[in-house]
Amino acid sequence: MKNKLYQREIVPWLFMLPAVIGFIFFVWHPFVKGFYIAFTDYVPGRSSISWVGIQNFKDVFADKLFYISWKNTLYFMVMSLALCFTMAIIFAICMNEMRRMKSLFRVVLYLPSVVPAVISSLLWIWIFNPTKLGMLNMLLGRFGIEPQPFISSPSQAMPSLLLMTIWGSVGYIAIIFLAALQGVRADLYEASEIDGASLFRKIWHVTLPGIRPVIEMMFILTLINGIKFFTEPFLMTVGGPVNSTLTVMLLNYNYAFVMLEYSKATAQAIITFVVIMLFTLLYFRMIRQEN
Amino acid sequence: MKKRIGVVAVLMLMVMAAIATGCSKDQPNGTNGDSTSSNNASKPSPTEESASNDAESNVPVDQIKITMNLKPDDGAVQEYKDMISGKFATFNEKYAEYEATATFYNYSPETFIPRIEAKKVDTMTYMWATETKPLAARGLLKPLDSYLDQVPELKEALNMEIVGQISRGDDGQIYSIPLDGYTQLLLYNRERFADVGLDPEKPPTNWDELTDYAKKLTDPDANRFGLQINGADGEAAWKFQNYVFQAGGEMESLVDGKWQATFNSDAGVAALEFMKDLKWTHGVAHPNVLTNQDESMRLLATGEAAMVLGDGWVVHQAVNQYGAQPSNIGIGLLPAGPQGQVGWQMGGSIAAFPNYASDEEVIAGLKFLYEYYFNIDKETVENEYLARVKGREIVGVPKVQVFSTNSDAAQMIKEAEQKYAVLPQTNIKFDPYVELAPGLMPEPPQEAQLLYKRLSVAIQTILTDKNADPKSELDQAAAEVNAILEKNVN
Repeated sequence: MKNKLYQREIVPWLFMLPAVIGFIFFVWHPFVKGFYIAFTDYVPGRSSISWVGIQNFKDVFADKLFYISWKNTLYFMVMSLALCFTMAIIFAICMNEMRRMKSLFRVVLYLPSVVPAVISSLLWIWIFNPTKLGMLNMLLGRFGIEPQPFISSPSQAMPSLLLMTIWGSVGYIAIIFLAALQGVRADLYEASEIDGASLFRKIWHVTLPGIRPVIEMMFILTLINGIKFFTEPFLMTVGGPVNSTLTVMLLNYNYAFVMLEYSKATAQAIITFVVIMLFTLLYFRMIRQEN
Repeated sequence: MKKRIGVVAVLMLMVMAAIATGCSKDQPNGTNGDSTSSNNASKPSPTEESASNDAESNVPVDQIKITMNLKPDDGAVQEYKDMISGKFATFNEKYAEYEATATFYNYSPETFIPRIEAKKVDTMTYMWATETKPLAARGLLKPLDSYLDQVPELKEALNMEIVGQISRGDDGQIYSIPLDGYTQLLLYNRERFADVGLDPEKPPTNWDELTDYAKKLTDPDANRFGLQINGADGEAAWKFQNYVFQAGGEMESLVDGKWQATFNSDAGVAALEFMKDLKWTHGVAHPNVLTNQDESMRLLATGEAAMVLGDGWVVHQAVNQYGAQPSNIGIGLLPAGPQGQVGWQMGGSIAAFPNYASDEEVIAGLKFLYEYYFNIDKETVENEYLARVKGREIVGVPKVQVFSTNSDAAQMIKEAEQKYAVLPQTNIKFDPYVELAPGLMPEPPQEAQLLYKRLSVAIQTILTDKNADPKSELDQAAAEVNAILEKNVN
């Protein structure tokens, strides 16, 4: 009896213990400590540490860059959701309906997703070169359009990064939608055809409801990824020009590693966490209501 | 079977515990372990060493171990690696009570701060000169004044003027040792000068000439521009300050005992107006306003930009990375401002000790710095320069010396610089040993990196919006910098 209890209750925990320890030390410990640090004047490497209450939060809210970063991030988030989703669904439906060269189209569409963000950033710096030597400007030149500044202009920088992001992620989202589409029951299409539904009506009444759970999941993931947008602006524009590509995560990095204000960075991270949590709760509520 | 599973689980746990113990155990010298003793090949492991120490009474048992991030990367040429390890070996032979080891680490605030928190930084870290004040202000560096008194040979060898400019904290104490210096120079493409009928032997000497030269050198249809203005985050302001100095201004000043941003003075506004004119009125600036110094070197090497402001260190990039011919690179002093005022920003590298370094480690470290950088003889200098040339360093580019002026060491360095010069010395259109000194200006003494970051936004605005007002942009940046100074410094 004792041996059975040991086998059933203790042994599984022993197997899990290394992972649990790792999880506690590397995920939960910094997470919980972050909440503490946000209320102190913590400087790494300095032994003295004082409780400062909500001062770090006040400092974050008093910084105009905080609002600029959120404005930029929300713009990026909304635009990438609107454009990536629309394009991905269209591509997925096209691929689903294609009879020939389906695999080639999938490969071509998915290929940018396998390029690491660092490599693609370096590549796009060349594509966005503001002189006549830039790849995009060469292309525009053939249509008689003057060279554009792209990431060198405050008004064009974020749309340029958006274009690059769409290039990198639309294929990945489309492939996930395609997988979902292939799970939509064929008899529903047949029934709608018998009822004389047009292509648009079939998409609206059969396809989209059929892949709705996947759309919702991708919606929340894309939303969270939008808030986490960091690598491309960090590598390509460092938030410039004139803070036009300063994102929430980039500001967080600046607080911690440029200004060396870890406590302020942690306070800002907590605010971001709360916003992400709100979006996630909203998502779960939507799911519950549907169910 | 079940019993075996239980045994496997317990064993896994033990392995994890062993790994965890291994991870937490301090590495010798407090480094992350990526270190190579200069004579590692011949030296026994720490355990073997202590055993042999017991056996041989002539070797001190309590050796002070110190480290410094001077190990070259794997791609460095063998002669350069040998030169570094040879200098460590010489020190270790001379001081049996110390063991100095070279580690590989490129300083960056992102990595240094976590390392100092974990007490894993080197005894001495080779880092940017601008870091002394912010790190000292946060209590992360060891003050060195009392230790320097115990190593008088180093104190005597140092150029105290430079120590005062870059190594003192706000409290007046010395927190770092300056190791090498650079200054901003006018780098130009000689071939491009010749192509448009300008004399490559006569670079522009004032703002008016700079504008005239840049106009002649600009041909947008051929993708050729007279001048490159760096507008990248932080670097924009770093370069801009040279124009402020030339206009007779300062970046920061002590006003009534409080540090304030003063780059929005009339001189600062004149400097930004000049930059705006270069970009919008004369159209001579390269269109890429987000370039950093590295990209400038590509533009210089390819001739896309005929003139750039750059420190001497980046010339090697233009040559080694972007294929410029050293004979094609001309170097002049930065042009003087409207009133004939000269000024070029000086920076460099320092060695600093973490706040937790022990007294013995600091003394050993200072002695090491003296032996490595300042106690030099002709043969050592010759060998070092030979190794540098083999390591593809562009020797001969003017730089700022950290030695006491007129010292023997300074003379030796001067001779070696000229003997092993890779950059033709005739391409330098001034006397580096005479004409550089009067215009040397330190970087902003307080919160330099934060100031650069905030001011760069104003410069980017001017470079991207032809209707922007320099005065109001500078005032806004100054207000933001003053808020930072008020909070962190005053």
